[in-house]
Amino acid sequence: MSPLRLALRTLMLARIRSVLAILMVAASLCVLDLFSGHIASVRARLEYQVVMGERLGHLAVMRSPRQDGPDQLRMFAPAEAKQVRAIVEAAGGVALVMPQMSVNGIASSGQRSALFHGEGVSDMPEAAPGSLQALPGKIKAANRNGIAVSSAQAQSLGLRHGSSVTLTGAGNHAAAQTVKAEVIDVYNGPERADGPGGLMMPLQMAQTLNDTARTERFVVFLSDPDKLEEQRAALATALRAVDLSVDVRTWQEQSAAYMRERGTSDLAFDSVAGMVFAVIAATIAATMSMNALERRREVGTLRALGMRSHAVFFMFIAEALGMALAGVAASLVGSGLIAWIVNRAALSYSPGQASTSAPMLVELDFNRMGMAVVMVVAVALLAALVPSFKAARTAVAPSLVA
Amino acid sequence: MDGNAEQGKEGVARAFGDLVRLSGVHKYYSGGSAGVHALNGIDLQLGAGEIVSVCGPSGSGKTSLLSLIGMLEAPTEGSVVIASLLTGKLSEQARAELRADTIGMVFQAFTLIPVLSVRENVLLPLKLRGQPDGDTWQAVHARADELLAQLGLSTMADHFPRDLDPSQSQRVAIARALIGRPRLVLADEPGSRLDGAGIRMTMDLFAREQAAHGTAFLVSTRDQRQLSRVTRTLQLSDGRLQNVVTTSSRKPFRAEV
Repeated sequence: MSPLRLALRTLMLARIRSVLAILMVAASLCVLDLFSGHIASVRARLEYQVVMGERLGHLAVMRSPRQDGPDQLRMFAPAEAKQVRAIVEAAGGVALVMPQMSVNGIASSGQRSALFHGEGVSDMPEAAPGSLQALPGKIKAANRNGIAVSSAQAQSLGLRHGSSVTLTGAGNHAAAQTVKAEVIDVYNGPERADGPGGLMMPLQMAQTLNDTARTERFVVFLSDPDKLEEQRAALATALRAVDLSVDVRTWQEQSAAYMRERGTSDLAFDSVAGMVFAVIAATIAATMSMNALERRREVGTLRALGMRSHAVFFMFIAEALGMALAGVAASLVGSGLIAWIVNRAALSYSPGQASTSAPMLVELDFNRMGMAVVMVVAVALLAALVPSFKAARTAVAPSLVA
Repeated sequence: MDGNAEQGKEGVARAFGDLVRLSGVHKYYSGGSAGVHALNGIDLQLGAGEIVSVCGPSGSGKTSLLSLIGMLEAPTEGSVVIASLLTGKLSEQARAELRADTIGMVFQAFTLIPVLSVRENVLLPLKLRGQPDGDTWQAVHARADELLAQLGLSTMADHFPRDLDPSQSQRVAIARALIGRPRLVLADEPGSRLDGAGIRMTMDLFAREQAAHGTAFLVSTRDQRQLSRVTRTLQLSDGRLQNVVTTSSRKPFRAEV
């Protein structure tokens, strides 16, 4: 009878205390799994908002910044822009490349004026993947004065389809330029948290407002966003190979809001994980200590019948690990079930200072769940060391006296 | 166990003849305000096939004597020789192997393993050893069932200890001590939870094992009803052997000594 078999038998015919310990491990892990799943869900929404909603794309190719130079030198000259676009479009795994230019200024409807933060974008090619056709703000090449405004901006200026608006650019190194524009789309895309109302315009209009023929950046949408870092490295290498001084940034690096959320949620997750692992460690240690104490006679009998002390140690360790793994298995079932119920229930919540509610969704973050399982096994092992050692050192003769 | 090899490794002193020989054995337990001198200069020989009872009041040293012979404890002074091997010179592993190969034990606390069935509890000493000595597992299982039947537990083989009353549990512990056909059985008050019929059944079984396999028994008891089958009775008082009474003309078994 091996110690492992005895440990498994003990677990299968578990005492109430062991069952409670397994349930405690499972419940603690469920909390961690669901929290990590919620974080994953929030991050997925933020990624969509940043990449698609704010049109930042997965990657952005920019001229390497020159801190002491004028704005113009931070943009690609027309010849450079042509070269960059050709190289990026030829790279594998790229779904769409769009030249873009940011422009700030004042929008006036004739009765009201407001600051705007606009993006000059090129037309969406008809061949672009369907998922990208959903990018907010429909700009048409045929209408060179047509702009799309966010619903918040439209409300602020009292604009609607067909309204006329005057835009005045506010570039630091350019003469102020003014253009007449017509609202051809009002979109419900997300508002930027760090600036005034959103506005989409043709790239040429943005260049006019900034008084330049240059292109600020190329936004790149990838076919497989999971290969973000590989693609970034490949593009940077390809562009630098032809002596282009470029900076390729990921969407995370460009979004301060995302990086803030990531820092906050990582801190929260680490805190919750610390508490969960402390609870699991205390549960396993307490359960195994009580088991070792209550089973003194049983251990004494096994030792007297020929079981070696290291086998007793291994038996208790195996029991603790079995308990932890049973808890892990129960937590996987529990987490999956709870996530399914929460997602089906279509709950919503109001994140932070947002005025509108967001759907409460829970994904299962298998990477973090896998790490949690490894941690639980390690924690259970450490927590069981002292009780198992004490059980292994049980004095045989005194334990067998009635 | 290879005795010669062990002798070479451990420098074991050999003594021939007796299955058990204790010479000048003292056992002193320290602790508390005053220590306890549990055994005080015990000299004892036990041959194969003997059924010896150790009588004495509670605290007279019966359990300590059995613990020393069972190598669960070491003497403070003196020597314990089991099957010609001086136990004090053996490593923990060698002692465990000698105990597993030579001795069956019925503990005062007769603890059964709660997660094993009655039959599995009986087979446990052999399962812990990993193989039945010379027998097939099938034969060993049959022997377990036979022992249980002789102790009136044939219907309980697949039950778990929680289903047994104390008398049945004690009988399972007795079967467990006998399963490996040990040369010596140490039984610490084996009849403490048995009624008259149970004690007779047990003592009859001991006599059959003695007759068939030459098993020696050292049985500690406070109950005079258990003395009917014994060849010798040792009287212990305050850790000293007071007198030895030969209570039966039964000859000790000598066949394989």
